[in-house]
Amino acid sequence: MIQVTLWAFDKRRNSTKQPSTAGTVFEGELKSAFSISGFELKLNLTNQLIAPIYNYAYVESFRRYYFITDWYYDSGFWYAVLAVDVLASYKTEIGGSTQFISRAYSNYNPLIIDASYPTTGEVSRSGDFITPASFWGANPTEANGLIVIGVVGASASGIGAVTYYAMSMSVFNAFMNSMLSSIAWANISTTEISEELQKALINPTQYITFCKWFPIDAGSFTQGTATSSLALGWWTFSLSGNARVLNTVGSAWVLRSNEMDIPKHPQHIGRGLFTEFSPYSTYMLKFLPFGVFEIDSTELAEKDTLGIQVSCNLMTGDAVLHLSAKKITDASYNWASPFLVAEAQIGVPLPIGQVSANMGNFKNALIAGAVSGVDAIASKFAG
Amino acid sequence: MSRYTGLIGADLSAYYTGEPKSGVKEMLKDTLSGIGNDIVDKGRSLLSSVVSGASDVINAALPTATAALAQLSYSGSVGNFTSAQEDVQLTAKFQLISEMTPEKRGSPCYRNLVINTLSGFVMCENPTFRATSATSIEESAVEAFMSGGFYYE
Repeated sequence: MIQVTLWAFDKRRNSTKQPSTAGTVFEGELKSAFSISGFELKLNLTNQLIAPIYNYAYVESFRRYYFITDWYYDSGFWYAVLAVDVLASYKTEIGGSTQFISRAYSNYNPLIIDASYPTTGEVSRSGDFITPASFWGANPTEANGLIVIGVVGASASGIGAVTYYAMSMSVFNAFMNSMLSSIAWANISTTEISEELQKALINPTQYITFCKWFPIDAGSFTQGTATSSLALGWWTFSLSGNARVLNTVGSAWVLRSNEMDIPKHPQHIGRGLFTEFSPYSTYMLKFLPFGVFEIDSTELAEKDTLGIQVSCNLMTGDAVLHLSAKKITDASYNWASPFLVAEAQIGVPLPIGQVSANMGNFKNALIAGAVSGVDAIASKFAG
Repeated sequence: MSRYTGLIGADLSAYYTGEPKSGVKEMLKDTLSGIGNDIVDKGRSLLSSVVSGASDVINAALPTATAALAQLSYSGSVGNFTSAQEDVQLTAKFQLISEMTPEKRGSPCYRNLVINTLSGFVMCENPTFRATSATSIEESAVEAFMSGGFYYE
């Protein structure tokens, strides 16, 4: 005879759970030959044909828990079919072992992508934007922008032979009008050279070597030094308003920065933090004329804002875009190591002089060159 | 997000001053060598008939230059009034995942841990289980449960 404790116990097959109640103790009878991992036990529960409620057992002498997988009745006795529950039997040893845990409920790394969840095919979109006025400080109309011209003239403020002036469109238009509406500013007597001949001989636009428009508010532009006149060639023009002379390369650098909120995956909270990474989250930044960029989602994961910084040189129109991201608790962006750098021409070139080229001429020249080349090749083959 | 920018106007006149950037220079080199190769390739095939047909060579070679040069203006292009009026836009696209059931399958952990520091679902990688009173069959059974995932509770 063997003593066995029985329970009606609800547990998963893959659980270390053990009964917390005392259970009911019975005396059972083993068959003469049995395995410790599974056997049948004859129990004197009742001689009535009522199914026993017990489904779990502990055999003290075997130090093991068992699932009761079946009951059958024979000759007035109930027989329990037992199978060892290794997880409950060795719960202490299992708990004390150190293992490499690939998945766990209570301890996990939310930054590891959990590929066990399929995507549903549903797509959600979100975004943020900055208006040009908010980024540059001006509405991007030609009237509100900043005109920078490079002029060859008598000036000690030039960079090389060229002096760079920054002004509003209205000041620039007034200057162009005063320059081209009359030739009187040349101060040449019409008795020496007729006005018509002066206009034919003197082309003042040839002294303007650079002219670009920038989406920067001219009214609030205070870099360089103020001037109300402009030296062009041999002459000096009074301006209708103030302009700024960019007398150093440093004064021609403009820095603008702003930030946007980084949209987050709807399921990113808690265990879903990995959804902030690709392929669950993809980010595109459109900033023209720098282009359209797909942003590496690892740069934006666990960050709150995307910082955008543009440094632009008004003497060339070249601009450099820097992107960096930070948490809301970070003091500042790490501009020393941006995750994306791109270059573009921010300045919009405005035609001033008469620069032209005929593609037909180029094509004819190419054809002529190619004919020579083919002749040369033909002569090589012939030779 | 399906917005594309492009230069609608056709450049008919052009001049270049200044030193091209290194990447641009390499692309121009590639373009020019592409034109050169096209000219030579086409030229070879025309040798039997043709010096007067050289204009066809050029016409065939020009698309090579056009295609390569068009790529130069995609990113980092020249400023224009249109692009200056465009908002700076950050757009995100999210692929939703099915409902998460960490209580039934856990979440990625990938650490060496003592199991009794955990609770609930646990899955082990290459587990090794030894107990002095367990048979080898029982040890294997425990390891199988550890590999497939079990509840420590």
